[in-house]
Amino acid sequence: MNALISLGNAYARIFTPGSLLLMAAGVSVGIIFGSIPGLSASMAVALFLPLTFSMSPSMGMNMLVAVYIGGISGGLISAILLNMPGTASSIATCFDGYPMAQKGEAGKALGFGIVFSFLGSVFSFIILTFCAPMLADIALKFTPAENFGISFFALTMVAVLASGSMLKGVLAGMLGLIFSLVGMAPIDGTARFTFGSSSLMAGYDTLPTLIGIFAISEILITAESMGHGQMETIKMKPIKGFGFTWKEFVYQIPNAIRSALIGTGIGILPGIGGSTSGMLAYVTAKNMSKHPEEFGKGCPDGIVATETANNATIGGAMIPLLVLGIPGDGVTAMMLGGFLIHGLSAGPLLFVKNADVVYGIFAACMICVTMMLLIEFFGIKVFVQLLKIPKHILMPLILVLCCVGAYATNNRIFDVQSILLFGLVGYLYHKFRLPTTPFVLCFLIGKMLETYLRRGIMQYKSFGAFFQRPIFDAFFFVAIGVVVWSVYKEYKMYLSKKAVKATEQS
Amino acid sequence: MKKRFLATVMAAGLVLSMTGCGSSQTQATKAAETTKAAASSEAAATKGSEAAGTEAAASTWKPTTTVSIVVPAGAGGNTDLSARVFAEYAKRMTGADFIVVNANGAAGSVAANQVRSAAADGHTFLYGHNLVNVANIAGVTDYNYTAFKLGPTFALDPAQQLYANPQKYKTLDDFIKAAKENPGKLKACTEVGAYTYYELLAFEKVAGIDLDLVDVGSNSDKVAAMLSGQVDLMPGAYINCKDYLEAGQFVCLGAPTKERYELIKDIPTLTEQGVDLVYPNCEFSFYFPKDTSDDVIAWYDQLVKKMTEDPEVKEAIAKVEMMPYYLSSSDSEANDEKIYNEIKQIADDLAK
Repeated sequence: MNALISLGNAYARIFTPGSLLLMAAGVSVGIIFGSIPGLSASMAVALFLPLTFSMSPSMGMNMLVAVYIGGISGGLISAILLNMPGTASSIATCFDGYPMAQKGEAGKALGFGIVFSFLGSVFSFIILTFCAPMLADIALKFTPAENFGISFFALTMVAVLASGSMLKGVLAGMLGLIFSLVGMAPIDGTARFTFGSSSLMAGYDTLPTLIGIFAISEILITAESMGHGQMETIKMKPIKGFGFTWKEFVYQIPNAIRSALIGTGIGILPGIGGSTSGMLAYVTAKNMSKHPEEFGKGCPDGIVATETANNATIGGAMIPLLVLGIPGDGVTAMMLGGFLIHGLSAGPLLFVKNADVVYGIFAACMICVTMMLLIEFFGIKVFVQLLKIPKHILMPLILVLCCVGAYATNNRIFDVQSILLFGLVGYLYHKFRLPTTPFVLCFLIGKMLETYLRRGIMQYKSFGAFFQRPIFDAFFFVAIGVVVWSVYKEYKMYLSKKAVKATEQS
Repeated sequence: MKKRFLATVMAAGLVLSMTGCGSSQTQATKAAETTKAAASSEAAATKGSEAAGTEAAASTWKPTTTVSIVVPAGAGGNTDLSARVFAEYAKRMTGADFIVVNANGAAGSVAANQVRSAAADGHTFLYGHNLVNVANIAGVTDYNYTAFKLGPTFALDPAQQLYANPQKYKTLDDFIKAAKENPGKLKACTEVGAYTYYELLAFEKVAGIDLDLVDVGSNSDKVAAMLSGQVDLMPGAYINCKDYLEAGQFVCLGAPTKERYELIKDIPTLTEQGVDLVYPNCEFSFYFPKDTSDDVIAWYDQLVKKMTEDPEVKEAIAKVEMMPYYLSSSDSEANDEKIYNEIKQIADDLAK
C-alpha cells in the first residue's frame, strides 16, 4: 500500500508543465538518435548526462530515462523504412519490417512496431515497479557459468536462423566469430590478429560493425541497383489509426507476451547486453510459430517479437540497477554514474534513502513511454515521407551520419574505416547470398562467450564443474537439443527435396 | 516535384537542426569542429607566441574549441566521475567546452593510444591514475608515463580498500586466518595487469597468504560477484562500495594507506592492524601528448589550482567521495615516477 501512495506522490510531482516538457524533449531527441543509423541510444544518453547536472537529481534521472526509452524505440523507424537498424536492438525488425515496406505496408509495419514497443515497455515497467526487489536476486544467481550457458544457447539460435541453408548460415556465423576474436583476448590481454596495429588492440567495436554490415552495405546495394537506371518509389497504402485491425492485434498477443518475458529476462541479467534480446525473441517466435517460412518475407510476427522484447529490456535492465546498484547494460552504467554524481546512493540504500527518486523514475517511465507512443503515432505520417525522398539524396546523407556516428563511438578514425570494411563484407555477403544475421549474432556473442567461459573456468577450475549448476545445465542442454533438432529438420528437408527431384526426373 | 523538394528540405533541415541543436557538447558538432581545430590551433599558437613576450607568469593560451577529456574507464567509476566533475566546473569557470570521452578497453591502452596520436594543441588529454604505468609494467604496452607530458593533478582517491563479506569475515584477522587455513582457496577479484592486481599481489606477500586471484570483470561485476558470494575479497574504491558498507552487505577489512584519510576515517588502515602495506593512492592527473607546449600546461596548472581551492568544486568532489588534490605539472611528473617505481618494485619482487 505504501508503495502505491509513494507512486501516487511521484506522479503528482512529475505532472508539472516544466518537467513534462523536458521529458517530451528527452523522448523526442531519443527517438531522433535512435532512428538515425549511426547514432544510438547510448550515445544520446552519454550526451545528455552532463546536461542533467544542472537539474535536480530526480529530474536529471527522469530525463535520462526519457532519452533511453525514445532511443531504443526509435530504431524501428529506420529498420522498417530503410532496412538499416537505427540501434543494435532493432536489427531483427529489418527482417520483416523492410519486406513489409516494400509491399507497400510501411504504415502497418510502423504501427505494429510502435504499439508493441509501447506494450513491451509497459509490461517491463509494471514488473519493475512492483516486483523489482524479488527479481533482482535472480541477477545474482547468474555466475559466469550460467552466462556462458545463455551465450551458448543464443549462439545455437544461429542454427534456427539458418534453417534452409544451414551450411551457409554456419559459415557466416563462423566468420562473425573470427572477427570477434580480433583484439586483446579477454582476461589475459594477449593480442590476437592485431598485426601490430594499436587501433586493432581493442578489437572491432560493436556499433561500427553493425553500422557497416547493415547501413553501409545497404547503401552499396542500393547504389548498385540504381546504376541500372530505374528507381520506382513504392506506393504506400494509406492507413487508418495504427494500421492494423483489432483481430490482428489479438492474434499477436501470445507472441507479445512471450517476447516481453524474454526481453525483461535478458534485461535483468547484467551479463547479457540488450542488443541480443530482440534477435532472441525473433528467433524464438520463428521457432514456435505455425508458419515459420513466412518469417523474413513480411510477417508482422517478427516485428512484434523484436520490438516488444527490446523495449521490455529497458525495464528489466533497471531492476538490478535500482535494487542492487549493478547496471545491466551500457546505458544503465551511465545512469549509475548519474546517480553517483548527483550524490545519490546507488545500491541497496537507494530505495531507503532516495525512495522519492526511485518512484519518480517509475512514474517517469510510464509517462515517457506514453509520450513515445503519442509522438510516434503522430510521427508516422512524417516518417513515411522518408520513403519519398529520392534515394540518391537520402543515401549520401545517411552515409555521412554513419561516419559521424562511427567516429563518435571512440573518437578515432579507425572506427570509420571499420564501417567501410564491414560495409564491404556485408555487400559481399549479399552477393554470395550468405545470410548476414548469423554473422552479426556470432559477432555480438563471440566476445561474451569466450569471456564467460574463461572466467567460469578460472572460478570453478574445470568445465566439468559447470555441469553441477542447474541453471547452466538447463540452458546448455536446451541449446544442444535445438542444434540436434535443427540438423534433423534440415536433413529431412534435404531428403524431401531429393525425393521431389527424383520424382520430377522419373 | 514540389513535394519531393519539400521532403528533401525537411530531411536536410532535420539533419542540420540535429547537428546544431542541443548544447554545443554534441559529438556531431565536435567531430566537425575537430577538423576546424587544426586551423584554429595554429591561430592560437601564433596568438600565444605574440603575447608571450608581455606576460611572464600567466599563460596566454586558451582553448578555442571543445576539449576532450579521454578517460580510460567506463562510466560510473572513480576516474569517470572525477573527470565529469572537472569538466562541469571547468566549463563554468572558463566558458570553454569540456567533454568526457569514455575510451575503455585493453587495460587503458585504447585511451592512451588515442591521446598519444592526438594533436598536441591542448584540446585532448588523458585523465587517469597511473593506468599508463601499470599497463606498461604488466607488459600490455611498451611505453609508460614518459610518453606523455604531465599536466597537473586534480583529485585523489585513497588506495582501494579491501572489502569482504561480513557474514564470513568480520575483521582483517578473521580473513587472514581463514586464508592461512585454506591456502589458494579464498577468491579475490581483480583484472589481469590492473592497478588492483599488484595491490592484491603485494597484500598476499605482506600478509603471508595465498589467495586465488580471479578475473570477474570491472567494478559492477565485482560487486555482483561479492554479493552473490562468488568471491571473498574485493579491492574497491570507496564511492563504489560505501552503500553496501552502510547496508551491511560489505565489511571493509582495511585501507592500504599510510594514515587514515578524513574521507574514510572509520576504516582502519592495514598498517594499524599489523599488515604493513602502503599502496599508491589513486591520484588523478592529466596526461598530454608529448609535444604539448608549456603554455598549455601552464594554463591547465592555473585552472586546476584555482579549482581545487574553490568551495563549490570541493563540495562536488566530496559528493563523489574523493578529495581535491593539487600538484603542479612538474610535481605530478615526479609523483608519477615515484609511483611507477613503487609498483615496478612490487612486480620485480614477485618475479623473484
